Amino acid sequence: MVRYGLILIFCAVLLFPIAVLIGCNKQSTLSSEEHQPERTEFILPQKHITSLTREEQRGQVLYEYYCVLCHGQTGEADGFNSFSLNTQPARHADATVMATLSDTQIQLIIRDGGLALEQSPEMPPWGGVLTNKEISDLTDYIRTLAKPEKSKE
Amino acid sequence: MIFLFFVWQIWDDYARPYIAYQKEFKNLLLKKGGGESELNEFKFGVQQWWIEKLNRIDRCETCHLSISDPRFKDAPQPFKTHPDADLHSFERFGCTICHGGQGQAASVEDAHGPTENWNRALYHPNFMQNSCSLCHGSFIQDEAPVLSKGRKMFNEYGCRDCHKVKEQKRVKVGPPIKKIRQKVKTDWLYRWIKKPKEYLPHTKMPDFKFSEQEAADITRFLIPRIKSEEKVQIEGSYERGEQLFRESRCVTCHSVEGKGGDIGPDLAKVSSKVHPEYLYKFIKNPQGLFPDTLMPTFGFSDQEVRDLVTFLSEEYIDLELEEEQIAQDIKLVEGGDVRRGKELIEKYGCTGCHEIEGVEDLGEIGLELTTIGVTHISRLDFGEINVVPEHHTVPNWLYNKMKNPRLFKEGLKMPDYNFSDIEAEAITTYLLSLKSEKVFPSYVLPLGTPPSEYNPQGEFGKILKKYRCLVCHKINGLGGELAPDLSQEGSKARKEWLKKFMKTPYAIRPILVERMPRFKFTDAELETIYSYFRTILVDNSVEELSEVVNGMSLHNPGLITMGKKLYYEKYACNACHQINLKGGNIGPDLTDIGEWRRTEWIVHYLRDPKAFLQRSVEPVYKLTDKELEALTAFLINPKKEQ
Repeated sequence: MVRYGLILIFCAVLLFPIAVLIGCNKQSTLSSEEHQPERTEFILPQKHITSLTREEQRGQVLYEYYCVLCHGQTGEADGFNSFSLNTQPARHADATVMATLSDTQIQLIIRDGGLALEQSPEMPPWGGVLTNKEISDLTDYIRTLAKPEKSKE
Repeated sequence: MIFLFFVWQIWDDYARPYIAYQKEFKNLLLKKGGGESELNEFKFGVQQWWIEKLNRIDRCETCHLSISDPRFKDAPQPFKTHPDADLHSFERFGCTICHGGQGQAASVEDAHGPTENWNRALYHPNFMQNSCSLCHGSFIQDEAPVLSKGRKMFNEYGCRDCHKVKEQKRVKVGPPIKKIRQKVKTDWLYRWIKKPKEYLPHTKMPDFKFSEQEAADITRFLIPRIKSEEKVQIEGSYERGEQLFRESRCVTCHSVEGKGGDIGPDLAKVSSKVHPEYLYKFIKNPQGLFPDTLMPTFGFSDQEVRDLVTFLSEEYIDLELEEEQIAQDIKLVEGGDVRRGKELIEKYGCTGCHEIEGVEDLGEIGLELTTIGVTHISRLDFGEINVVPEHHTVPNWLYNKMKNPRLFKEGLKMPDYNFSDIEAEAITTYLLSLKSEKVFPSYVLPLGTPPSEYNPQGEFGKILKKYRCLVCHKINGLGGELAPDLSQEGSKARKEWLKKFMKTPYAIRPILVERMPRFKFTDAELETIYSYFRTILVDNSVEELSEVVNGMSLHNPGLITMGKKLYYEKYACNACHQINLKGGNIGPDLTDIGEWRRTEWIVHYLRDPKAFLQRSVEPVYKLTDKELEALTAFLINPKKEQ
């Protein structure tokens, strides 16, 4: 098998300059002719691949609007406003910390603010802004930010 | 014989295509913990929803058996739970009204389509939002972002200029081409027509793929007398020009090499395009030369305009452009054929978007799009392109047309807009929404807001036009998104501050770049603006608070101390706002808020921030009356350094 592979690579290396030469020749003849219509293939719309569920997607929209300013785009607590706070915001990307919090606790902190769990009041309560459904979507999304493989290192 | 027929009938009945799916579903139901009674209740056969008012019979549930059952969230298709089951109930809406496809079919191929006799195949997920407009109207926004992006693009790119759509007004999106010889340089016009994106990568002007000769012919028609380009010297100071360029905040609208706004054209190579004399006249009085321009009248003195033009001509030149190239391009144009140029302009419908001196407007030269979303596939020409039957659909045709307008055969006229995949999907989605169909009245639920008809007259109207305020600001639903909404400004701003701010604007939010240009408002104009704000642009619920505010003891030192404590300790407002340069960067600086905001407004905003702006990132605190009073007292009084 390996031998065939080597032969194949060898052939490819040999053929490459020849192909380039032919290609260049072709191009030069093309550019001299005017009105060469561009022909491309018939294409199909590509499915937008996302690993997020619909709830998490809705949560993501909210997260990017309300949370990233302090908690950061990837949950690394590095949003542009994080540096002017007295306490560092929670790192949602940190799996070990996030594992200690239950969904109910996360939802409580979003709804009633940092003071609800005797944390910093700099985390404001969003209960007056977000509905319970939105807070639950947001929690689902925050869960996707924790990357366990990183914390193991 | 009869026996054979009998056997065949039984076999045919047994082999109905959906039975296999229903058997699979039963097995899956067992795995998902379905009880015995549930399993016994299950009956094989066609399941259907009959939605009389929408005139539909949808049998999709025959195979998609568990779309409303949350236990099947992670199940494979066709059993997966519908992710938006709570938004539209299946009993009321069915499936095909949104998804397309053939509801009455009983086999996978027929139901999903396309088949020979059923034109409307199931929509690809990327185009799904086209169906929203059926009940929710064509102004739906955040709920259908792809569709609303498509609609915006359709207007911005001037699709309507060449394609008729009933009940939509035709507005020419390109600038009028009059006395173009005095405006732009001949060689630039030639290169622009040949390849617009080479000069401005993000321009909305499409690429017609003209040959060199064709571009030269058209340029020759537009500039028939090419005089030798003698340089008229406009003398001014480069340094003062640069300073003015900065102070006037030109980059709010214009970008320079990618940095800056996208309302006006990029200026990085402007002096290789426009004659300095034209630049002078345009900056002096933009609306006199081009009535529909978005450029405001700054009110510069003659010397200031000379300084600016000097700066622009010396700073923003295309450095890669060589003299030889310019001479060669001009020579090509000189050899152009005026008559052929005019023919080309008529053939390609340039008059769709531009008003062109000497050419009659031929109206819409493209296909009418009023019902393109439900057009029959046989009316769309796939030309020389072979497409397998399962991809032979209207959406796919439209998507390919957007991506490569001249794909299907040679000689097509539609120009190339260089749309990305996402853009092509958005515009295809919008086109599919053009159906001219109506649903049963009880299903109609318009979302979003139709375009505002706000159109102030009189002195204030003139000021709005002169300074083009609505390019950035919004008033009563009309205008741009770049700057704050002014609909309630009369209830917000204090008079003295407003006048001071308008004369020398600064950034209210620490993180933002200063963007409000420095206009030369006269005192009379400022008076008109303020009196209009204070009489028309007010919010009555704010004005009614005067009594509440008068009843507050806002200078009580005890209250101020309490407010300070609330500000820093309980509510930690400093997380987002600054006072004396300390605090966060999200909200406005609150150091002097008492000077620029009316107290009624502060009370109103603290009570319910969302009442003013639904999308405000301000959290809503449920303040007690005492807390409200204390915070207001703290905010409006001068604050000492901490």
